Amino acid sequence: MSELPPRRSLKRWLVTTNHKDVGVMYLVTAMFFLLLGGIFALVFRAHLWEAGGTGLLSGSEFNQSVTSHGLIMVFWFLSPFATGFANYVVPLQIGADDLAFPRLNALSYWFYLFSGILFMLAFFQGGSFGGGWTMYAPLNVPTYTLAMEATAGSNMTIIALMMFVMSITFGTVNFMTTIHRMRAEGLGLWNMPLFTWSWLLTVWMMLFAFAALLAALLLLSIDRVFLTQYFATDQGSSLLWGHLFWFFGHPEVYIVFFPALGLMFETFQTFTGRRLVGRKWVIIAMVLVAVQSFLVWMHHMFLTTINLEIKTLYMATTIGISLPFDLMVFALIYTMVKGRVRFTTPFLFSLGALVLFILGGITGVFLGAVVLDYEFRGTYWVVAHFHYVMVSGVTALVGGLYYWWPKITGKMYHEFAGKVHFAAYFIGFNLLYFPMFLTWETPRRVFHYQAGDLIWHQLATVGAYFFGFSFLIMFGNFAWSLLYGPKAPDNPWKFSRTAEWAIPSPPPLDNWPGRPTYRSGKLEFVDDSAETATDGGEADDPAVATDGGTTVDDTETDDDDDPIIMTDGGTVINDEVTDKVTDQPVATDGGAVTDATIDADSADEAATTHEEAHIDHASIWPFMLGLSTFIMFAGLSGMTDVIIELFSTEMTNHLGQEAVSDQASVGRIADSGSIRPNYIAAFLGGLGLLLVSLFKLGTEDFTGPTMNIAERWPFEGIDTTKFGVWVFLASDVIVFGAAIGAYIFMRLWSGWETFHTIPSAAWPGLLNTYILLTSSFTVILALVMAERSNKKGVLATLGATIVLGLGFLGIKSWEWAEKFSHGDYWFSGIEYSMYYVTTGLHALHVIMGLLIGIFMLYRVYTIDAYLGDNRHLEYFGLYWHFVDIVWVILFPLFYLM
Amino acid sequence: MDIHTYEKAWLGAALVLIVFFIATVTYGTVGAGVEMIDDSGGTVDPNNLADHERFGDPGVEQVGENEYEVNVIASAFFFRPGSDQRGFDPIRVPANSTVTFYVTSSDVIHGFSIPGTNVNTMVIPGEVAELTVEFDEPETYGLLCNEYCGFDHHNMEGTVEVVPEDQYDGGDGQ
Repeated sequence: MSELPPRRSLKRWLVTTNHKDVGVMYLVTAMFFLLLGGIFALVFRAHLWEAGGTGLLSGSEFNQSVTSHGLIMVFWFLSPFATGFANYVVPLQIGADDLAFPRLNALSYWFYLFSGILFMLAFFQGGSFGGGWTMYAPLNVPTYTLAMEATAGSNMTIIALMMFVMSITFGTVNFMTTIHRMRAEGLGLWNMPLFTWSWLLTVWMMLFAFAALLAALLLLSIDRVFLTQYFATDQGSSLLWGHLFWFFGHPEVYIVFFPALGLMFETFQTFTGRRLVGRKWVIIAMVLVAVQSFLVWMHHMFLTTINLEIKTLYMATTIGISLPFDLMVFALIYTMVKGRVRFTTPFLFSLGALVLFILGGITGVFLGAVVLDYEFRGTYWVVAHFHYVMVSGVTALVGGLYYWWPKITGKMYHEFAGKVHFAAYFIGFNLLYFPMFLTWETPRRVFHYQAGDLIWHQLATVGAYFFGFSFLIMFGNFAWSLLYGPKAPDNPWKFSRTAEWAIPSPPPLDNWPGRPTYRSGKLEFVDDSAETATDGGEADDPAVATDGGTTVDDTETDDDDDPIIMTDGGTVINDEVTDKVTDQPVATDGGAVTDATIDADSADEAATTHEEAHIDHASIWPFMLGLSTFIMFAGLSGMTDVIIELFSTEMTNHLGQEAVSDQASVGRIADSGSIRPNYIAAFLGGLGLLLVSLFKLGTEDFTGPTMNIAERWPFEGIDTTKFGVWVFLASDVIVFGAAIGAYIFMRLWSGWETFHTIPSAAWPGLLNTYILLTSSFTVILALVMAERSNKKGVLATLGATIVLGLGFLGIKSWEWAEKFSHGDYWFSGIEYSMYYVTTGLHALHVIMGLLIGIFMLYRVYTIDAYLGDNRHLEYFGLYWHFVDIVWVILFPLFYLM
Repeated sequence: MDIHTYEKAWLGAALVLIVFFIATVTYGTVGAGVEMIDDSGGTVDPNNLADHERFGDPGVEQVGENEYEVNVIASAFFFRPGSDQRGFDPIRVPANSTVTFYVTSSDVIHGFSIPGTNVNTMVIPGEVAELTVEFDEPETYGLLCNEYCGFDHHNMEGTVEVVPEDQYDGGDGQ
């Protein structure tokens, strides 16, 4: 077990895996990106001071500023800001010691930070991406980069975004597992605090939406680096990108807004001293929105050539999704009406957010109607509308910063300065965005507007600076608070009812004075150390209630407006009285495991050598993984012209002389010759470091949090890591689903029957199908052998799996080599691109599986791992079976149909 | 069930809003007969627009009494016809006419938007956007692109002239 260095040392922040530390790092980094994105906005608002621009920015610089502003605010600020709160608060609200996979959590932070650095590096490569945050095809492929800026810089922007999405995927797997598997005893789903509820739904949406974006970005990156044709053709490329992007893009709106909504529920309850009206219905409404969010994406494509019937259908679903939101808005208003409001800073921000959200919502309904969209699309009406929605989310999150500031820092902020900040913020906000409604006919994405609109644009610019500078009050307030602020009590808000307020501010590293339980209907802390650890037994009776947790009963009557009388000490009340206490069997995940796992995607493993082992908080390898991936991706961004040089003759044959020389020359604008070896070195060096870090992470002795007694409905039967693997596989299903969907879409576009299929014969594919199916069988044999503790058997069967996997790759390479020898490359046409990329993506999964398999073989050989405890083999098996199933789908699609 | 007065008021207001919005939309589609862009425009090969019957020689065509078709190619960074600033003819149609625009792109996605009217569509390479509008009064409109299309995107603009019927000399420009 490694000790965590003190907070004052830099090392602490590099090695920490503790959810509170990571949460703080997320918040600080997100604030940095808020400033960066804000500066871009201030620059182009200044450019807009005069119709036609003041000359501050060139056309291309304007495009880059607006694009960067959008990408930074949506991706690098909003989501991570909420993730920061979730990191800090969600484990506290559900009574967990930490997230399920602490190292994976640190990894997602480092991927976030390094992806942001990649994004900024693009500006030093001859210019970043300037095609708008929607990145519409085909402007996003290198052929048109000539018209925009250098290839390497734009590649970097896209790759940075891809790395960011990977970070989101890690976080999603982690939170999903944590919330579903690690709730304190007695904390059923209905009783979960509303912020945690909103975050749970957020990660559910993230899981599917971001996976679709990941697939889109993967294809786009391959288009950009290897010059495949996905988004370069005139045969449906533009619409394909539109569908992939908006399938992600619309749920993304709710992904960024839901945490803010959850926060508003929390603060409204706290500062009205009243339980949320219609709490159950609000939860149901949120679930509905989460589902419906995937059924409205085409309303972003009303002005494309999609047929009218489909557009009308999507108009109906769009109006439908506003209904659950109505319910939530009314619930908030009614809570206020029935409660006794205290106008503290966090509440003011929440209330402001509600007002802005109502305005943003109503103006959005106009856009949801196909006919009205002809008037509004591409105008400032849209800009004003989505800023009212998105920035109302920001408003609530800023309120959250004030709300949890005392808990996180242990210091109170200055209340009056906070209110001044709110006043400045609210005035600045409306001064900035409201004129955009008035001058709604101004087209967006250009800096020309009618002279008559000058006053509105100048007002908006003044508002932008006012709004921006209002944040200085906040930073000043927080600086004052850290230096001179009075010490915060455990619960400064009196009526907060969630568990984080029952422990000291700031909470100790291990969070709880004992094991938190809601078994009696209220929060108590139980001392389990006196008892022998149970394994598979029944939940024990709470033994000793520790002194820290004085608890107060919640009266359930609806008309109870009286403040609850507080006793001294840490007091907390469960949100609702749990009416039944479940005596569920303890899942057997506390057993002795001597070894950590290996899969990068489910890297963190609750491996305990002893029941009473303390959980670890420190590991350097998440940081190293982030760093090496960063170096590798930075190298990858400059590879386009390496590919062009390697295949220049073949490309000239396929794409025409002009296209190739264009692309080659564009590449050189950025790197003028000598830089290119650096790109190759960075790529290879990063890859090497990545493999070493993965190995080190896999062999590291690390103990994650284990909860022997927890509320897990409906997932009692699956152990924690396995649940994580399943969640990861679910997101991978979407990644492949999007790639396969792209194939079907493009093939339908060019005529299903007349489509030119690439494989020259079906038999290699058939042979590979048999090989993979056999390898799935040998994995199961390995599982059985491990159960019998038969070391030789495990070595033989696992070895056979690896040999079969290599055989699959061998046949695959032979097929590709055969194609190459006939002059058929991935850039030869869209049908070739799809064949090479889809099967290549699958082959990459096989390679990753083989790496894991070889690592496991090594572990069995050296330290007799998995013998008698085959769970890790089972996780590997799940992944391997998944890869097989994907092939079983790819084979008929590409070889037979 | 006991429903609070506020609640009733909110419910009422919400219902009115919903009915109003649905009515607006229904009116727009059925009553005002707003034409929608759909897939009826068909597809084209953007690399061979010169050979296309419609886009080989883009411009304004009279197809019936007071009915005109305007075929436009959008390219980085001009409309042909439309961008008179770049030496192409402006789009010129008579007042009191029904005009159908057929717009396609030869390279990336462009916008085709006439501020002050409800002419607004995305122009997608390989696809033809078709939309019909009525111009009642003589007026000169601006025409612009509202999708990012590259470094000179902000200068991609043009002119649509709706001239009095008696001054209309047929066809595009002079």
